[in-house]
Amino acid sequence: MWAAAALVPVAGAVVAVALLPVDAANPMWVWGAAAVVGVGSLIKVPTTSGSEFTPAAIVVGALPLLARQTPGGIEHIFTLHDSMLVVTLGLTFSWVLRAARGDDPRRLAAGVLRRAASFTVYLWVFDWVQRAVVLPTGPDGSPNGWEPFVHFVFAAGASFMAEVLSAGFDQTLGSWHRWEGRVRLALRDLNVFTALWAAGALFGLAYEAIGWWALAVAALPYLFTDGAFRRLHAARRTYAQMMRALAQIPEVGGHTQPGHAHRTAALASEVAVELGLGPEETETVELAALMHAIGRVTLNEPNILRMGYTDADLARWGSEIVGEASALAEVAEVIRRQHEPYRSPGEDRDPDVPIASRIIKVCSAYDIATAETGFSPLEAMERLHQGSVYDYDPDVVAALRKVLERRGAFGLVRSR
Amino acid sequence: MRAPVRRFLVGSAYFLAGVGVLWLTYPGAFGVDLPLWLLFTAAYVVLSYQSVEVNDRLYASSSVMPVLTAGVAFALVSDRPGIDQSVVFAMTLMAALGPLVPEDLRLRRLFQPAANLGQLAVSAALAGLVIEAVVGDLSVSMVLETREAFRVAVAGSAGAATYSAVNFVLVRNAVVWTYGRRDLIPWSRMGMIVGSQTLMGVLGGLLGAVVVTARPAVVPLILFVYVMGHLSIIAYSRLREAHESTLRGFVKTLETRDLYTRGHTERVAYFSRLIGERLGFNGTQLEQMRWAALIHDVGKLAVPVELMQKRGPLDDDEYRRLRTATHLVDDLLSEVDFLRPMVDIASGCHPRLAGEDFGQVGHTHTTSPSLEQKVLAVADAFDAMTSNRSYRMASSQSRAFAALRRDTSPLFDPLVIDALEQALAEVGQTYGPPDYLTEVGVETGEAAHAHD
Repeated sequence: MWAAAALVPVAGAVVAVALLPVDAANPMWVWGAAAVVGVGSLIKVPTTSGSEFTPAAIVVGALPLLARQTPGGIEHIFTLHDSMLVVTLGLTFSWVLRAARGDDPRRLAAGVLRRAASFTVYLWVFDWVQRAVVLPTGPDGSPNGWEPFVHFVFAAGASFMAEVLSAGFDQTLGSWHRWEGRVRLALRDLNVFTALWAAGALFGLAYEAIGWWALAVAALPYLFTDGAFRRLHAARRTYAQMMRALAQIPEVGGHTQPGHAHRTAALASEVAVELGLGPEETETVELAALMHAIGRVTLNEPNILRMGYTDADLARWGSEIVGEASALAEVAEVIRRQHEPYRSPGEDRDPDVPIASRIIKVCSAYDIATAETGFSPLEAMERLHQGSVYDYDPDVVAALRKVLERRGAFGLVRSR
Repeated sequence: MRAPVRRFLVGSAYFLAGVGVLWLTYPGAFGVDLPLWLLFTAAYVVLSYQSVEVNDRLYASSSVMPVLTAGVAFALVSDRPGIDQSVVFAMTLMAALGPLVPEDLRLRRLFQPAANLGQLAVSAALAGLVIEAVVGDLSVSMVLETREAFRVAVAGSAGAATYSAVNFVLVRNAVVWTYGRRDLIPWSRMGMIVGSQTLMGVLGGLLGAVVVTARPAVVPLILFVYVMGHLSIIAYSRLREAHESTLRGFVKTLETRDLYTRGHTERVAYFSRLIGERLGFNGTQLEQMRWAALIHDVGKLAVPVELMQKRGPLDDDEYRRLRTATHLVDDLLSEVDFLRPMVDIASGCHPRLAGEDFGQVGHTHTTSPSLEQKVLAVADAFDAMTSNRSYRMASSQSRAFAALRRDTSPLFDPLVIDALEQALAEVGQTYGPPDYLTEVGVETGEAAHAHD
């Protein structure tokens, strides 16, 4: 893997040398832009999927639009050749900087290659659309002001497709549904992608009219948006931290085994991915699994202990606590139905019981059997199989088995 | 004069001022490019609806930007010498359309839109005059020289500063005249608002220049960038709401079990805010107090059942066990980076520990309680004393204050107690039963025993 990772900067250097003769009248533009791409790659913009978007995209987004006033009219600063040189030099430079910083070489190689793909697609499509799509000119022959916008939308759209599809290829070992999950997750990065590339195009277009003042025009809105992304990201992290903390209250109260909530959540989200659930559904499963035993905090209430309670009561109380937050309505519903059997006698399957509830029922039972009752993983699986007439959905049990096998939980060596 | 009458007078005065300004600036014909005007007006109206509260202090509203962009764009296009009245009118009319929120009109809330119309029209007209004065004589073709661009930036920022300063003064005065309260919008906010709007003005001015030099495509591009940030801000405030309501779910569970403590957390939060405002806490501190109040009793969820069953005050050993259980929850909550300062406040607010071993238990390792801890402790003890418990009756407000003052705990700072007493007097509220009910024969809890 190291060898493959090291090939990336070597390939970059080779391509850069091949492209080397600079077209531009002023080569400083090319070197400068490449340096900014390299340094910009060190700053990470937080995204939903965890993809590594960086402000380098702003520079590349501006390249095909950058133009200046010359005696003969307005002239583009970068040819396609120069732009490609900027991208190759910049990404190679960024590889050197980030390797020196100590980034993981595999992630680094994958990230640089994805960037190279999306940048190249943007530049090529832009070049092609520029020649293919010409909007009607004004009565005095002046160029149509909307033309650059149309070109940009085409090129950026194509580049985003490259970005999303390459996110799927990042994990080529996975099965189809996991590839699909990666792609769906990458689609959620559209906000960060749009902001970065549009800020670049904004700078390119405004530079033509007002020179370096364009920096203010592009930077102010982008900085606002960047701040919003960071704020949102921090809030997401805080929320996750808080849910993890609250999930442990029944544990410190002595109502469940220490670590039960975390282990069940980790197992349940893996099972959800194994069953082919999308990123949103997996998130719901994870949250609900984390909070599934929260109804037990009511168990230090003397009245409740005196009157007795059932699993259904516990599930309902838990769902009432969580359901107080309207954003968690779905999670609350999953928690409310977690105790229900997946089918009743004579019925194929109860379609009303959400898949997430069925996953939690199985994973929670498995964790209680192994951590509390003291069964071995294989014995616990046997109980689950026995219970799969009504209680445990056999599909979920099968997925759990695959997950546990992958984790090596059974300690078995597979003979071939 | 009664408030509705004052409101009517202020509303109509502002409205008339707005209409007057429109009439004064009307040049006889519309005078500017109508499609462009409609485009900017649409952007302005949309942005006016979309202001989002980021937190207590910061409102992400950028509705001033389209007005200034339009002003600069029109001023650069017009080649009339001197101040072009049609530019000023175009800006004034645009600003006046902002407050026409359908929701307000449907509910027949007329005061707010009418006053806003007046105040925005006046602000925009003055901003228009400033812009015309700076760049009125400038006329550009395809490209701006550096000096021209500089003047455009100055025009935008000066226009925005005028707009927001005038607007601030008018809003503040309307509030003061109508409600007679001076503490609603402090003057200290003016600097921040005008500063951020001036920055927006630079952007708006330059944008106007780019638009008129035949590059309208910058408008959708800037909207792309802006809208993405805006959506994130909306998602962020939703998340914050979810965050808070999730915690509230836990608090509610806690309180529904015990009839006597129902609403306790909300009241403690309210009293902390009253004290905090009185002591001049800033937005961040007030926000912290709110969260600290919200979590100060969550630890009770982990209290062992035999302590929950106990009727009557706890003895020292039992109290220590109770604190151990709640500290386990405090430990959990302080794993959340955001909550750590609030957990510090909340875990140090329980007075029993303050006298004896404050500093060894809990998360604070200071030897004396912080002001925030004192505020929460006073709010907590005051509410506990003025509400009924299963084992005692509530005491009256004056007796509760007297008991708090008698207590020697360093948490019950006389300064904080005075602040609460004055704040309650100011809002005209009294808690607990009247004095004559508690004066004789009823055993009332002393401060240190009354917390819960």
